[in-house]
Amino acid sequence: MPPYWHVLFLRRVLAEFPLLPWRVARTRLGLWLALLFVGLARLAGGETDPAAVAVLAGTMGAVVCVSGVAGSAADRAALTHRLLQPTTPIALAAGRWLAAAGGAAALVAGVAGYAACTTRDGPGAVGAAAAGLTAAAAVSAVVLPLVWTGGNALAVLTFAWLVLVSAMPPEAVIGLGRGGALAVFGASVLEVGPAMWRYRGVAAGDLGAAAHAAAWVGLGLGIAAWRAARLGARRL
Amino acid sequence: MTIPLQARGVRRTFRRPWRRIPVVAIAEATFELEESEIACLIGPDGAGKSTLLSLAAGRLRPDAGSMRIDGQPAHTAGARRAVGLAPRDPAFPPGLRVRDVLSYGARCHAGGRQRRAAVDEALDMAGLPSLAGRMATALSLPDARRLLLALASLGAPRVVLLDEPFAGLDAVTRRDLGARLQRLAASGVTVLLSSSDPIGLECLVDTVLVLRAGRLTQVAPAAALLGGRVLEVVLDAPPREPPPGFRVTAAGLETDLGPLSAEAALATCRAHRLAVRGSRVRFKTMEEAAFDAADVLAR
Repeated sequence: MPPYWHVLFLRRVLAEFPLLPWRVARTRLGLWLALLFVGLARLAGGETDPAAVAVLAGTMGAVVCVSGVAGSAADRAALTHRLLQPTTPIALAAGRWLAAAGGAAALVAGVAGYAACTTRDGPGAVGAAAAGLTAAAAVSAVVLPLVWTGGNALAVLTFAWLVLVSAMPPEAVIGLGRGGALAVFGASVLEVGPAMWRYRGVAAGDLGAAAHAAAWVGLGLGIAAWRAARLGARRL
Repeated sequence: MTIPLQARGVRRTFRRPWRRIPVVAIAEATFELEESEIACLIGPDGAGKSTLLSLAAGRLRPDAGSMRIDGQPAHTAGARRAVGLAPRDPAFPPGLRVRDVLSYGARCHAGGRQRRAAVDEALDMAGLPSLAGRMATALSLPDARRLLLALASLGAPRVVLLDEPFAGLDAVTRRDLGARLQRLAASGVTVLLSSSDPIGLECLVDTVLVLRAGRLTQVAPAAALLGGRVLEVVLDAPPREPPPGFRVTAAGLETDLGPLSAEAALATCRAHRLAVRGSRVRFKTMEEAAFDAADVLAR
C-alpha cells in the first residue's frame, strides 16, 4: 500500500536535504561557512550586540548556502532531470530551502553558542539565535527563486544589499538620501522585504517580525516552486 | 493485467506567443506496448520523438487523445511512479559521486534499506559498481548514459523511456547498452527508446514505430519491417546507368528483391551486359526501413 500523500511529500522534501552535507564536504561551501563562522565568532566575542551578529550570521549563511545548494548553472540544468523523478516542484523548492536554511541555522547556532560561552549571556543568546534563525529562514526563501532566475550573480547582489544596506532601518536610509526617489525606493524595499534591522527585533520578542519572515517564507517558496516548474518544463 | 503503455489518438501542439498558428508536434499517435517489449521510435530530427516521450513520461499533457501508463493517465502521480525517463543529454548536480546521484534519486522512491538496495541494484544493472565513487560530472559520455539508464530504472518502473540513448556512442558501447536494455526488458519492464540514427538496432528491438512530421506512420514488429530482402551485386566496374530497380553502390549495385528471386534479379544484370563478380542476399537494415517509411510518406 502506498504511503499517505503527506508522507510522500515529506519524503520528497527530505530527499533534497543530503545535498547540504555533500556540498559542505566536497565543494567550497564548507570553506565559506568555516570562514564565516570564524569572522562572526570574533565579532560575537566582542562588544557587538549578539542579536545583530546572529541575524548577520543567518543572513550571510542563508545566501551562501542557497548559492551552494541551488545556484550554480549545473544545478539549474539538473533541475529538469530532478523533476523526472517522482517529485513535485513545491517539494523540490521546500527541500532546497530546508537544506539552505539548515546550513544557515547551523552557522547561527555555532555563532550564538560561541557568544553564549564567551559573553556569559545565556538567555540573551537564545533570543539572538531565534532572531538569526528567523533571518535565515526568510532570506533563504527569498534568495532561492532569485538564484533559479539569475544564478549566483543575483545571489552576490542580494548578499551585498542584505549585508551592507539592510541593517539600516528605512528612516535612516531616507535621511541618508535626503528624501530622494532612490532613497524612498530603497526604504520601501527595506520596509517590505527581508532585512536585518527587522529580524533583530525577534530577539526582543517582536512577533510581527516573525510573522513578516513567515510570510516571506511562504511567498518565496511559492515563487521558487513556480520557477522550478518552469525550469523543469524545459525541452530535454 | 493492464497495458504498460497505451497511446490513443494523441495530439499535441505548442502555441508560441508571437505566432498565431500553433506548431503541431504530434499530429496523431496510436500504439500499445506490451510487458517486456522493446520498441524503437525512429524518425528524423524534429519528427516529434522527444515530445512523444515527454507525453508518455507525463511531463506534457496531450491536447487530444489519451496517453496511459499502467492504465492511468500518464500525468498522474501513480503513472509517474511507474515510468522512468532517461533524457538525451546528461546533467547531474555538481559535487555528487555516482552512488550519491543514485541515492539522491532513490530518496524520492524509498527510504532506509530499500533505498540502499535500490541503489545497489541500479548500479549492477547499469554496470557501474566500479565507478560508484567517481564524480558524476566527470563521467565520459558512455558512462553518463549508463548512469541515466540506472536513474530511469530506479523505483522498479513498469516502463522505461530513453531519448536517443545511443547518440554519440561507439559500436562496442552501443552493443553493451543494448544488452543491458535486453536484460532490463527480460525482467518485465517495457522499454521505449527513440533514435534518429537507427543503425544496429535490428537485433535489439521487437517493435518499430516510425514517426515523421509528428505523425506515426508505421507501427510494426521489427521482423515484419525488416523482413524485406536486398540483393547486393559486386561488379568489376560501376555501370553508367543501373538496370531498372537497381541502385548504384560502392561495390556495384543493389536492389530490393520483393517477390522476385535472386536469380531473376541477377538475370536482369546479365541482360544489361554487366560482369557480376559476386552477389549476396541480406535482410533490410533498420536504417533502410526508416528511409522506406520516409519515402512512402513523401510520395
